[in-house]
Amino acid sequence: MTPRPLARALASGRGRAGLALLGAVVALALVGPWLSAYGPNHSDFAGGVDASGGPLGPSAAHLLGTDHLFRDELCRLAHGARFSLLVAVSATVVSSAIAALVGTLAGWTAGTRLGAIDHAAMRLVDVLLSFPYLLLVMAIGAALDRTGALTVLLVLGATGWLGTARIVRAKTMSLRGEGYVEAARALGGTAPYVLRAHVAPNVTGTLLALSVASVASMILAESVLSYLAVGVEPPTATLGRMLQEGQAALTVRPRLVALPGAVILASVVGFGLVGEALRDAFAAEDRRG
Amino acid sequence: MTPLLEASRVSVHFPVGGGWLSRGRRVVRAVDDVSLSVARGETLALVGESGCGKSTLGRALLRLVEPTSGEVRFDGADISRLDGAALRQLRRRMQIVFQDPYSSLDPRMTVRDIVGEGLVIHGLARGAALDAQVAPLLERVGLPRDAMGRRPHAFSGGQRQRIGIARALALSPELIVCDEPTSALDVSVQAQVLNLLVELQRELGLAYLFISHDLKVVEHLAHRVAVMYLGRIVERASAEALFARRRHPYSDALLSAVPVPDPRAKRRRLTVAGEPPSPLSPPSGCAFHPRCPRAQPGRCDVEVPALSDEEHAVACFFPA
Repeated sequence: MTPRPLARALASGRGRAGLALLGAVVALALVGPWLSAYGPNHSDFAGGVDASGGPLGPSAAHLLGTDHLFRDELCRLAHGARFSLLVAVSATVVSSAIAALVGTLAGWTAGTRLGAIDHAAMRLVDVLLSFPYLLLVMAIGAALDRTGALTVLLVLGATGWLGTARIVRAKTMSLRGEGYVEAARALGGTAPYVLRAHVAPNVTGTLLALSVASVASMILAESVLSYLAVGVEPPTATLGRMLQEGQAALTVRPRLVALPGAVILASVVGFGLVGEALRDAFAAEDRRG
Repeated sequence: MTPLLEASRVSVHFPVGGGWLSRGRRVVRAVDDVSLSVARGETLALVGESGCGKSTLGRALLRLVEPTSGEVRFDGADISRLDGAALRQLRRRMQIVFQDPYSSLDPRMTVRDIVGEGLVIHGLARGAALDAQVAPLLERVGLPRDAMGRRPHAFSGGQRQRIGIARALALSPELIVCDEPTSALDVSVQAQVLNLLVELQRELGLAYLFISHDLKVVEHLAHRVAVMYLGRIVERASAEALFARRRHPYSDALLSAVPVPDPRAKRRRLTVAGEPPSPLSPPSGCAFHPRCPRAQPGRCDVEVPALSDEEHAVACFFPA
């Protein structure tokens, strides 16, 4: 694995734009709570109500105002972003690990004497992919009863690896046909050696690009779960729940929807851009090869 | 003296089509009942058109493809049933140089790691000791010393092929299968790589199984030649004898297809009618009979001619 395509990806236009967006979201998640004197679940009734009898708008005490339960919007936004990022990144680590394992194993055994392993793995992927994704996630979530962060993470991780595993399998199969893999076998390299020395380094780029892009869909999926109230339980602040809670007041308090929406958008676009930049850089590296 | 490599009645059959739901698997006989031998320090050229099974045969002899049947002996010992550690030890003694100088080098490895890969796999050297062993190999194949730390993309096709040759040499093999090592190179570079192979053979006493479809190249460096058609050897002789006289009509046609770089030269063109048949459904009898000018109905389309036992062996009922 060379750092060169990585550096090139992050220096590209899309890479920089993506990193800037992600930097802003991460900064919000890290610094946000300190810009507010209140906790994310603290209802501040001391400030009273506004002219229409609703929660207060932006003020010195609440920079972004308060939500329908008089909680500090900025603080909740920061905690929501923190929660979403953590869950999405951890779920991606889980799903990428599964995808790497299943994908290389299937790709390595496809069309050989051990082809049954490949068949089994890919039919499992077919079956799981044939379920509507959200339905599957919700079904698992519901079956596990009301959930904590860890369950959400595991549900997303356990369902997010399917497409990636297919791509890793295809990549592994194409690597298997490369001359240098045959050369390594001719030199006496064992299957574990070839997998470690040739397949893993050449799959890593693809996997990294896919993983970064998949963080985006994980954030979205986590938000959807929260929005549909099958995610973590209230009052934990998540971007999806904030969206849902703000929805009731959409016409009078559009910022309660716009703010979490903007944070979701920034993270999804940010991860998407960085993922695309990585994909292009590694593809260029393959062509140069 | 026992030959270094001796193959007797080697066949490689590939099942094709037929997933687990469909019946009727068919078999491609890529290599069919082939016997040959290569002596120490000798070059046996294996020639034939694309798809005739010559590369598959080369790989089967190295056990990179499993032979379906037959026996391969290396230095007197049967290697067709070796596996695990014994097979890996054997691999140090027989190597391969590939046709495609691009796909055969891992783009993410440095030249040092590519050339030294065999040494690392067999635990023979690492770190500074690896450098010390790789450096003279690079020099030997005519690459600059500073190539060591660079990656394959920094090199031309000819240089990449030299890297591939250095990798094959690293384990001091006795036999190298050269699978069309120059067919992907420019003509001007081809000669350099061929000369390098000839020099290496002279210095190191290497034996080559040289797979090619280019008879000009073969004439330049082969001691003996075997002509393959559709998975079988149809003619086998010393290079001298074969280039002086072809006994099989297919060899004749193959040789007359070699371009002559002289516009005024009078050429006797012997063209072969039709396409090479599909190895999936080879013709009955002699596989060459539908395209053969000498074919006699009732004989050639019924019986399969065996390779004769002569010095200049031929598999034909009506050899010249």
